[in-house]
Order: sequence, then structure tokens, then C-alpha cells
Amino acid sequence: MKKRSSAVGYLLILLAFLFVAVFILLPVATVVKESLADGFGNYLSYLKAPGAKSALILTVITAVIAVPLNTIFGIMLAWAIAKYRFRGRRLLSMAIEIPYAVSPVVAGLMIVMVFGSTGLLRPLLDALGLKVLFAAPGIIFASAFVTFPYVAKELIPLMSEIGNSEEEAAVTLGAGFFRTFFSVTLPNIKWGLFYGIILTNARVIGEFGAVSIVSGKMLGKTATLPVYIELLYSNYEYVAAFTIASVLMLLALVTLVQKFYIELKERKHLKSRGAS
Amino acid sequence: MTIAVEDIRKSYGSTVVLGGINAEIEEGKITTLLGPSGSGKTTLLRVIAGLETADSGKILFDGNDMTKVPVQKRGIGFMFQNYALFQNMTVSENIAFGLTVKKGADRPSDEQISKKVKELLAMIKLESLGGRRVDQLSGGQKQRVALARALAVEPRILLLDEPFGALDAKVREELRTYLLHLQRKLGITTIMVTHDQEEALEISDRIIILNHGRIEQAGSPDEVYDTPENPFVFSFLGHVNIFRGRVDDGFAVLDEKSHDQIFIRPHEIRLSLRRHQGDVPALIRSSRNLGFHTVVSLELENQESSSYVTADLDRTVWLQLREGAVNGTVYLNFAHFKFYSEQTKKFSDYELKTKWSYSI
Amino acid sequence: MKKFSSIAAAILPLAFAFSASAAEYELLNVSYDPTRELYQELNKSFTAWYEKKTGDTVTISQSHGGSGAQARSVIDGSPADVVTLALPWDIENIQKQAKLLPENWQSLKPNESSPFNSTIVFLVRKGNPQNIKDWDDLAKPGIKVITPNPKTSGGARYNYAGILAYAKEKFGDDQAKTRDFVKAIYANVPVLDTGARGATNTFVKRRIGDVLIAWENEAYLTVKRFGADTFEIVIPSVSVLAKPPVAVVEKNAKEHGTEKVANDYIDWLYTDDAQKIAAENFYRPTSDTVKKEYAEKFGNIKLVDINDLGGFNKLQQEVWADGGEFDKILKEINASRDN
Repeated sequence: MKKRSSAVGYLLILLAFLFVAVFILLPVATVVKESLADGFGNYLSYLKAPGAKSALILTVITAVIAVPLNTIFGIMLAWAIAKYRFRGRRLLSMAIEIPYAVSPVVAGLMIVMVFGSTGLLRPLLDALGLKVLFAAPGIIFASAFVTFPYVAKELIPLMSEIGNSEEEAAVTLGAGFFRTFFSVTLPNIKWGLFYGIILTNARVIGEFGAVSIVSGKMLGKTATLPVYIELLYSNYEYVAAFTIASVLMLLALVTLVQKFYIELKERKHLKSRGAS
Repeated sequence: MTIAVEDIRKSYGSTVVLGGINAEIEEGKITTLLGPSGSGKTTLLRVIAGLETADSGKILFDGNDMTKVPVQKRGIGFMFQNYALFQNMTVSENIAFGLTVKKGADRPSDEQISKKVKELLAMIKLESLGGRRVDQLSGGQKQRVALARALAVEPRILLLDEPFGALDAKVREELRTYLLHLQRKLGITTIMVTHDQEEALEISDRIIILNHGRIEQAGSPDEVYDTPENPFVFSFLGHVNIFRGRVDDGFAVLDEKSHDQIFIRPHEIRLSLRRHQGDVPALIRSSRNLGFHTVVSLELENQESSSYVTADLDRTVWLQLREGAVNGTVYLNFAHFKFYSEQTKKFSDYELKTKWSYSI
Repeated sequence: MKKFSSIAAAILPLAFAFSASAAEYELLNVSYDPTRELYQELNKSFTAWYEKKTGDTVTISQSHGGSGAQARSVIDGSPADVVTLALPWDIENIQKQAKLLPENWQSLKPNESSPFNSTIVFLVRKGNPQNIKDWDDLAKPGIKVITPNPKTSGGARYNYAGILAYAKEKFGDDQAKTRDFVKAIYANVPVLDTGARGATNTFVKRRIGDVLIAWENEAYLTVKRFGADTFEIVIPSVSVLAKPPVAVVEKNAKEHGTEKVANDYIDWLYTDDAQKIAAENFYRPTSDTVKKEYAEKFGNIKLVDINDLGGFNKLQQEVWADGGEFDKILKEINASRDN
């Protein structure tokens, strides 16, 4: 009996490696190979192109604004849904799923319908002199919209399971809202929150569908890295496109490494605490 | 500190959870809110704490209306059934929490805090576990830490929500006794919620019995046990044998068709090897040895449907009965019973008329 | 053409001589996909020239995407000052749906608002092993043709028109023969990609097909990218004339205060300097002088105006729309394949 099960085990492990190799390593290797097809000198010059720089800056700015925004809103929403009972709670919980379930292209179109020149909110925006579409705010909004559920979805079941009693204990001991949140709630949801933030970040950086529709694809102005890549690719500039793609890949790898590193630190931390 | 509960009402939708509660909580005493699940006892405790708000009514601490005062400022210590210790902190950090939260002038220095924590750790006899993470403690240890944590801020009142519910029997008993002694020493006003009537009878100075959001009776343990005001209280506290019947010339007559009820405590049952006037023959079915006394389950003969009776006897007496019983039959009567009239909704007490001795 | 460009070259500087102080302008040029390098060069040249002439600095931002999608974004509010798209159809839609230009927009600039033209040619593997010379070679059995779907790709509609151009030459007005010819070619298409990039990918990267029908400028771009030792261009005897239009988006330009600069920009595209840059980027110049210069580069080919083939709108309605002729042809092809 034992022998047979270990054979199956090995088979599964082999399949897993194969999967990783084909779906992850191969594309990564391809991106690297194609980006260097014109030689390393050109690789650098594609990276230095003004369009590339502004795409990188725009992508970073978008992430720097959209990710914390979604984190805060996600926590607030998860708190409300997990810890309170109110009418429409279930509806709200379902509504959160919408950006998740909808294709990013559809999300982009929805945003255009609301903020576009014939959109519902257009008169208000014009009156306030605000530009949303075809400008950075629209990109940030679209990116935040499609990634909105990630943090909330991670936290809601987590918070529901953890329950309220620790928070209640804290307030009976005199802690105010913020003290309770930071000393009691946050440490307990740390991992779920962190994971949600990483997912959000990765998705914001790589978001294409919705952003490409709302951005107007203006080179040097509203082209994020993914949009810029598509722009290059559509202009027959394959090698340049792959070069920028390798940058995106690098960003993704950095995120992964960060996650790994912090997990490691936490594990060490746990060990040291337990010893005393 | 005294607490006054004035006409507290609370409903969830159409369900009435608290239907007009009025109570006085005495200073320095242990008052227990006792009742079955759904009786509203926990809700009442949480309303007093400020963790929940009532729809109407007032809570007064020493005469001050607490209705608008948030839970943080009520100066209470609360203990939860599931301990609610802060998972991400050590034992010491848990205990110190309430002190670290204080603001401005009220906040003690770090030295003072760590001194206080040491004292409390000694009080709960967990001196060496200060740096331990809380998930490494046993249930009993956790609850003691929770107690220390609650007491660290020197609350005016201690509120306990079924604090021993999650512990096993022996630990529960130990902790119960510990709490009792501690409370006597500190003299802190304490309100405890429990569904365990034994626990309530053991440590309370006063018991408030709740059922479906209303107070059934309030009084000392002796009062509610010996003079219950209605059948619910009677049967909730301690074991009781209940029969339908009537009183005939001072004797209890068991009668299925009667609307009235006869209540007899197990320890008020007298068993004999010889038959006396008015005795009922009974068959010994089973017995449970509880150390000094034995609880015996008997089945009454002469009844249309079988009636089981639970008797509580001195162990020595039991042993003799058991040995001398012919075919497991003994003769049963009651030293004392209460008769509840359905009509008047009142209890009346009956003592055994004849002088009756244990003649084995 | 010649007259205009020389007049333009003469008058424009004079007009600018009268402008007062140095101003700064920003223009947004919403263009279509393969024009990035083209406009990068054009814009550099224009802004230098303009500053010299008027002292004003102009910064031109570019947007690129699928021609239809770009038109869509202008309709939705993209603040384009000028549009330089692939099909007149796309600018028509901007006019009809958002009224950002006048109805007569196409007649406002020369050559139906098209400063540089293109046409449809073939891309084959180096050495042209199948010996493809003209459109009828594409109908031969066994030849695999790569072209995008005209229903999803605006540019691919010109590919279709190219077939029609040849058919007109060969069969005249015989609709039946024309239809069979079209059908024969599309029957040789193993994969109908949704867009030009997909088709190019199929032909170049996946190495499927013997010949790729493509816009001339894109064919040259492909050869440039992937090496003249891998592919070569075959210019058929006759093809359709593609006139990618340019226009000032008047409403936007008026709002931005860029109406004058935008018009100057568009007008400049007709000057010889601009025409040369376009020719270097594989677009057919409309200026007679530059045409002559690059005559050899672009070779001999008879170019048929799409209006002579019925006109874009008519073809759109009857052939490429849902349920139109093309859908029917595809159905027949698939049916015979299943047999």
C-alpha cells in the first residue's frame, strides 16, 4: 500500500513541476529572450525611451494611490459587513463581487458611460472642472475599481471567523476605536490583509483592459506600462514591447520576493516569541 | 458601587429579549443573572456593560445615568466565556493593556505598569508565564489571565459572562472557588451570568432568575431555593420531583387528572424498609454515588403510568437500604412538599404530619 | 497637389510673420496603430519648423490604438485636437455621433483630407517559393493566404477592396465571377485573425501561410523588423488606394484655443518636408514632387479608388455588415469544408 501511494505522490509532484515549467517558466524565459533579441545596448535604449519612463512613473503613481485607497476602503467595508448586522448587508456583500466578476473591458466601458462626454456624471464634472477620463484620475479610478474586491474579500471571512470578542474586551478596558483597531484587530487580520494588498498591487500594476479604454492611450501622458507595451507591440516594435514587459515581470518578481521575505521574518518572529 | 436597572427593554424585530427589567445590584456583592439560554441574561449584562444599548430604560451607576456613557468610560471589568485574550500579545501585555490605554495624566509610567502586572501575575499564581504567548496556555490559565487583565484597571464593577462555561468540571470548580475568595477579599461589586444553577447557588449573594426576558424571582440563594415563587423557579433551581396530584387530609395524593402540582426536593424524600401509613412502594432502579450522598432513581408502583422519583440520601443510609430491600422494593414518603394550586397560582408548604423516624 | 503644397509653403510663413508674442501650444493627435514612428519623426520636424517660423512652441502628444477604438475614445471625450486615422469611416462616426467636426470635414483639406496614402500589397517568404505575383495567385488551390477578418478589422476591409480592385480589372462588372474570386481567396485563409497584428503574428511568428495581405506601410515595417532576409514584398499589378484621413477636431480645438495651430499642423503634413518623412516611413506621398522622387521605391501599380468599387459606405452596408455578403461567403466556405 505504501509503495503505491508514493508513486502517485511522485507523479503529482512531477505534474506540478511540469505545470510550473510550461505556464510560468517558459513565458518568463521567452520574455527575457525576446527582449534581448536586438542586443543589450538596444534593450537599455528601449528602457530609456521617454515613453517608457513616463509609463513607469504613471504605473507607480497609480499603484501608490489605488492600492492604499482600496486597502482602507476594503478594511472599512469588511469591518462593516463582518461585525455588524444591518439591512442590505447581504446585498452589499454581493455588490462587492461585481468588479471581480465583470470583465475589465466591461468595467472600462461602464466607467466611460458614467464619466464620458455623454455620461451621467459629466455635467457635474464639467461644472467642477474635473477631468477624469483620458487623464490620470480615470486610470486610477479604473484600476481601483477592478481591484476593489481583493482586500475586502480576503478580510470578510477572516473577520467574521475571528469574531468580535477581542475588540469588545479592548473597549471594556477603555480602548477607543483607533487603539482597538491598531492593537487588536489589525494584528489578527495581518496575513489576510497583506495577501489582499499584494493581490491588489499586482493587479493594479498589470491592469490592461479597463485602463486601456479609459486612458485614451496617450503616449507619454496616459499610457501605463501595460498600455505602453500594447502600443509598442501594435506598432510592430516587438522587441521594445518585450523589453518593457520584462520590466513588468521584474515588478511582479519584486512583489513576490517581498511577500516571501516578510513571511520569513514573521516565522522567525513567531519562533523567538514562543521560546520565552 | 451600586447599580440600578430601570425598566430596561430591548427587542430584535418582533422578538422581545428584555421586557421591562427592574433590578438593584448591591455594592460589594456577587449577583448572579441565572436563566436558560434565550432568557436575556447575557443581553442584560451587555447592556449594563455598555456593549449593547437598550431600546428604552436606564442604567444607573451610583445614581448616575450611564445611558449616554460609552463602554470605554464606564469603568467596568468584563470577562468573556471564550476568554477573548489578545492573541497577538503575551500574558503580560494582555494584563497591561488596560493601563497602556489610559491617556495623559491617568496613564501610569512603564515602571508602574510592569509592577502592577507583576502583582497581578502573583495574584493569579502565574508568575513565570508573563512572557508566554496566550495560545500556549490552558483554559483555566487563560481565564485567570482574563481576570487579571480585567482587574488591572481597578474597575468599579466586574461583569462575568459565563466565565467558566468553556472549562472542564474540575477546573471550573477550582476557578469558581478562587473567584469567590478573590471577590470576598477585594469586595468588588460583581455580576455574573450563568445557566448553571449549581454554580449560582454556590457563590452568589443574590440570584436574579430570568426567563424569556422577564425576572421570575430575585433573592438570596436560600430564598429562591427554599421559597420559589413559581414552578419555573422551583424546577430551574436544583432538582425537583414534580407530580400532578392533590392534598387529602394532609397527605399528598398522586393524581394524574389533577391540574395542581406537587413539588418535592430529592433530599426531602424519605425511604424506609417498612411500610407506614401513606407510604408508596417504590422500586430501586439505579443509584449514583456522589461521595457523601447518593442519588437514587426509583420507580413508583401503583401508578397508572410509571413515575420516576429521584431521591437524595445520606450514603450510609443508602447502603443499609440497599442491603435490606426485598426485591429492590422500599417505601417512600416525603418529609416536606410544596403544593402548587393552578387556581391561586400559589405554593403552600406541607410537613409530614406523623412523626416518622428512620426505622430500618 | 503641387500647387497646393508650394502655395502652402509660400503663404504659411507670411501668415506667421504677423503673430505677436511667443505662445505655447499643446496638441493631442489621436492616431491609429502603426504610425508611432511616423508621427514621432513628423512631429519633431514640425515643432522645429513651427518654432522657427512663429516663435511658438508646440508640444504634440500622440495616442495610438485600433483606428475604430481610437475614434470611439474621441467620441467618448478624448480631448483630441486632431485625428489621423486609418479609415474615413472612423472620422465619419466621430462627426455623426459626437458632432465634433462639420459634416463637410473631408472636403476641407486636399485629397479628401488624406496627405499620405497607402495600398494593399503582399508579404511573402524570402525567395517567394510559391512564386506569388498577383491576386490570382492567391486564389490558386493549395496556397495559404493570411488576412484579418474584415468584419473586425477596419484595415482588413481594404484588403477585401484590394481583391475587388483586381476583380474589376479582370472580370469587369461580372458580379458572379467577382464573387467566386473573392470566395476562392478567402477559402485559402486558414486563420482569420481579428486584427492586423494578429495576422502578422500568424504569418511571421507562427509561420503559417504562404502570403500575407497587408497594408503597404505595415508590410514594410514588418520587413524592417524581421529582416529583409526573411521576408520580401510583392507588389501586385493593381490594388485599392487607401486614403487614411486627417482632420482637425474643430470643437475640441476651439475649446483648447488650438484651432489655428491644429490647422497649421494638418496643412504642414502636405508640405514636401512632411511628405518626404512619410515616404521614408513607407507611406505614399501625395505631393507631386515627392512622388516623383520616390517613384522607384514604390514601384508601378495601378491604384483604384474605393469609390470606383462602390464606395466604402456601400461596401460596409452590403458586404461587411452582419448578415451581409461576407457572412454568406464565409458560411458557404465553412459548409464546403465540412463536406
